[in-house]
Amino acid sequence: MNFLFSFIVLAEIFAIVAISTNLLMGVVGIFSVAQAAIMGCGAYAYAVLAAAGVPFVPAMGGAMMIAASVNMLTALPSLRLAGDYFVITSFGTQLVATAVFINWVVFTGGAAGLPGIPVAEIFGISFVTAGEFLWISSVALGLVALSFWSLLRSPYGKLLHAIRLDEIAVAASGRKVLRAKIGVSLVSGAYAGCGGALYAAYISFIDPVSFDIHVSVLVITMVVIGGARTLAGSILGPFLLLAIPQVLTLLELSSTQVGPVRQLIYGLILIVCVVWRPQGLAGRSL
Amino acid sequence: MSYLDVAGVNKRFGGIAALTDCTFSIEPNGISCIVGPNGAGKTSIFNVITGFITPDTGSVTFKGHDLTTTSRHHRIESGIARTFQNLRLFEELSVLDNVLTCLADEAGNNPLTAIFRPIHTEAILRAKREKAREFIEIVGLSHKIDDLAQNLSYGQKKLLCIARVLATDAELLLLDEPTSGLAAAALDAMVDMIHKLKERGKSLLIVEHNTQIVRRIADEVLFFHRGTLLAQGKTEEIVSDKELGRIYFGEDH
Repeated sequence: MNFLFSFIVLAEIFAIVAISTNLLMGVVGIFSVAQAAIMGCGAYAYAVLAAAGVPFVPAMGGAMMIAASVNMLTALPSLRLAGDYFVITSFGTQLVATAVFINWVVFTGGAAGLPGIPVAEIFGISFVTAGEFLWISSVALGLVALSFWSLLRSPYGKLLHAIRLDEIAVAASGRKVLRAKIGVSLVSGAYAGCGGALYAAYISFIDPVSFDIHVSVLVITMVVIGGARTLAGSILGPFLLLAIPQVLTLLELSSTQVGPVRQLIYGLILIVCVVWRPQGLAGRSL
Repeated sequence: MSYLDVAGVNKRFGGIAALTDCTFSIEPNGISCIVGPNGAGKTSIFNVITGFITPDTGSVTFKGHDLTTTSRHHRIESGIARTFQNLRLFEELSVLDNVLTCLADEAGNNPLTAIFRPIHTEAILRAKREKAREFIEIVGLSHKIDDLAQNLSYGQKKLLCIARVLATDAELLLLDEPTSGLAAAALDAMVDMIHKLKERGKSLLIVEHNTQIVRRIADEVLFFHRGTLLAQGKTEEIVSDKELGRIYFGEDH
């Protein structure tokens, strides 16, 4: 049972990061490959705050604010650029972030990582096991999903869609495109930071590899396969992709085979999706 | 001081002079048509007035305010809005959302309000939908309100462009070839629409190719040639001018 709960907790955490990516990439069309870096900022910020004795909820809030600020500040110089160029600058952000996670040893513990992150505790109740932490991750996903839904339903959400479809037309109708993009990078950063903080609190150990470029690509794959622009897609994708390693553990593969086989299956699913269902399983048809 | 003043505007793109010493002014609540052969600078002057390109020299003044170096956003607030020759609709959004996104009111265009005050935001959304509906009704697309823009006919798309530009609440509307590519019925509808806009108190500056249409809609005509204003005057004078006709239709005509 613990095995299943653990899977659900991780899938929910990644669903939060996927929602963050979906907002940026699917809705506004800002293609970022730095989501893991932002998630990492949230995770490290939470770890440092929690270690300093800050209680769980304020530490989460702090982590979200820091991740939001980092996302906005790193995105700001390139938000004026048209879609495709953003990929390059966000790639740079991701690489720099990984280098910082490895080298800023005082805060991050360097390549060896940060062990012993304090467990989540709210009103004196500790959430240690997967079954217990499931409450926290579910409530967090619920809140993030609800806010994502409200956001997309609002006039601001329509504006974000419009920016993806034709930025010049949006500017020509008097909207401030840059301001809207800054707003969305803050929200998306906060979501990713929330995912990162939950990850740190749940696993209680983080290292730079947990937030490297592969994780960014994994999250993008989740959004592409799950489906862009919809809430269901952002939740379905992580559950599906994280289930694959779990299923593979049931097969009796040697430890050297598991990694490549997993990549192979991701690749196959991606190709199948691109050919037969380019909008993703639960995406809005293109 | 006139309503809209364009004074001494020059714009070069590399070796090409798009606009050369362009000076004219227009009066409020009229329909002014810009005509001229291809490459005459018609769209360029639109881009200068709406802030899509900055002129090398010269100025744009609207109701006494110098707008030359101001942002596109500020120009719309001042009361100038435009449509595009290639429409630039939000094809994957509904007719309603296309107009809603262009409403002058900034209420609800804020992520924090949307997330933390959902009920308040819902009220804003309802009010904005109501407002957008009015503009859609003006252009006669009420029956298509929930259709995606991409599923409209070309004529309907052009009417939707009008609804969008109306939604900005601007008083001076710059329409870039509103009638091009329209079949007879849609064309008549658009001509009626343009007259209706004038009746609603709007001032219009329109790029128009078809001289028949110009006769039907224009109060005055501005004739552009090679990036400069060649003549401005009453529609009949300009349209029936033999010399201008020769330039417009080519030397052999």
